[in-house]
Amino acid sequence: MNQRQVRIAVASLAGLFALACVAVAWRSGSASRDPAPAADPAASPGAALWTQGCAGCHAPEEFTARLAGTGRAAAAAALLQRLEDHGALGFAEDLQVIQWLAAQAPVSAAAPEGAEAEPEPEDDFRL
Amino acid sequence: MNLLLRAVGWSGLYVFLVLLPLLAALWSAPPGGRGFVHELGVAAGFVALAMLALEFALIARLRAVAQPFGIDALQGFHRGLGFAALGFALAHPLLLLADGMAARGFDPFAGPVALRPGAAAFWLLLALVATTLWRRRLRLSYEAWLALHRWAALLLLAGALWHVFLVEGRSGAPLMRALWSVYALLVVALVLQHRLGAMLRAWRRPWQVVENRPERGDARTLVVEPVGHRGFDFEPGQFAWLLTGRTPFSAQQHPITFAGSAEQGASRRLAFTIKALGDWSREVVPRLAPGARLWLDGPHGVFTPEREPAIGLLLIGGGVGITPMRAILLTMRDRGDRRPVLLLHAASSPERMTFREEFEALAREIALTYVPVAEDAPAGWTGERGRIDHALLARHLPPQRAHWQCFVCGPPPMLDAMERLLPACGFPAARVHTERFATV
Repeated sequence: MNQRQVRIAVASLAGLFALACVAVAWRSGSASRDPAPAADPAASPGAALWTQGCAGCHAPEEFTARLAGTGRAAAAAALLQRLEDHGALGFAEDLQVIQWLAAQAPVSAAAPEGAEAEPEPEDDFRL
Repeated sequence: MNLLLRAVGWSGLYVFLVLLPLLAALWSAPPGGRGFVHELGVAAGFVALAMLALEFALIARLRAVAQPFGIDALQGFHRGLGFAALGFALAHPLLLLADGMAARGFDPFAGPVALRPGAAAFWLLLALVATTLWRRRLRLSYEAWLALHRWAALLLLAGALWHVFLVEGRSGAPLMRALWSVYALLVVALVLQHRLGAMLRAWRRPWQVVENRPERGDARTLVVEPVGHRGFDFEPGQFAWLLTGRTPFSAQQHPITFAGSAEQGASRRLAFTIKALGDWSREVVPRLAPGARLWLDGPHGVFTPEREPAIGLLLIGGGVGITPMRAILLTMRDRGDRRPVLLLHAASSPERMTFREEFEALAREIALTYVPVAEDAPAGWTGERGRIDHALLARHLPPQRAHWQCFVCGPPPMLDAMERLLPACGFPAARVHTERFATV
């Protein structure tokens, strides 16, 4: 093969792979374009994201029960840190889910806003 | 099996292996909830990683793969697809950044834990490409660049795989983790085959230098003979990697074309002509005295008329790219091949035309028309002047050129020019064969 043939083949392959990426992203992304069933009458963006992305494997109680007795801001901060440690990417969407989860947690009178969350076992916060 | 079918088969396998992670991602439970841009970023990352893993296969000197394409074409694929992989690797974080990923994800030291190895791989990939593009400007020797390239490639792939294993979402599905594990094992196997298997085979079959003579044009011809084995057969135009050093494992290795006849005779001796172009050829090659031990990994390459039926041959050699032409012509003489041959021999000056007198003598033994072309020639020069251009080709190409095969070897600008000019002069592009190794 000469150089021109190699260049044509490389460009064709790169184009094919780019098209495949677009097709896969379109198909995967289409799920998020569908109207999501409301998980909460309030239907916040965090709730919708939870329903589409996490609810298949997790129940909100898994998290909210652990947050009982903590302040909401501290719970959200603790969740965010734990999520990052476990590979969540720090997207705004992650944050919305975390805020929604934290909002579900009952707030104890004994634990003022901003109190530290209880340490959690590893692997508990995978969305 | 037909070479074309094999080429199609290997290409299909490559495409399948690059796209397999995407297919597996669709098959495995999708995390959902992300938009198009996010999913596109993830898909670009999967394609980049699969392409980077397969880069190792392209330079592993696998004979079955090289047979239909040629090793130089595979090196061209390695380079071209490497750049394409860089494009996908750049698109991966940039699309995720556009989708809201924190910019500190690019920080390999203080970013989110799962992103750190990915960020390190990203910067390593940029460094690897930069050192490849600007090796000479950075004053990196070929050997230093090669060592850097190998280690950086391995490290960046390890970092990227580590990142994939840390990140949840699509990559976290068991199917995806199993698939990426298979790709990691494939790379390990390729590296072992390439670096260990080939070296072990070479080690068992040493060669020794029997002659090291200077040639016109700042070149030297090494003649070597096998020690304790029968050597190997080759076809004219093919090449071998020369390994010089204390052992094949510590050796420097360089692809050098066979310069002698493929009809080796009882001595089984091989000749290589090496132009002084870099540290190795300037400093190591002249010191290889008779008796010096070296090793060969070969023969390799498909730049040979033996694969291409033709009623005549057009050979175009520039600089040290003339060596495969010498092997082809000497083999034709030794085999009694009477087909017509036109040899265009380009060099900066007549004094730098390696083997010029030998070709003039060969023109009296076989049906060879020898046309030396000097860019700068003194008064009284009877050959062509300037560079090989459209007018020169039109003057010398035979009327029946459509049934000839053409072989071109020389500096990349000359190869580019010939690939453009020859079809314009009526030489079918499919019959123009080039060999290029100056990739970095």
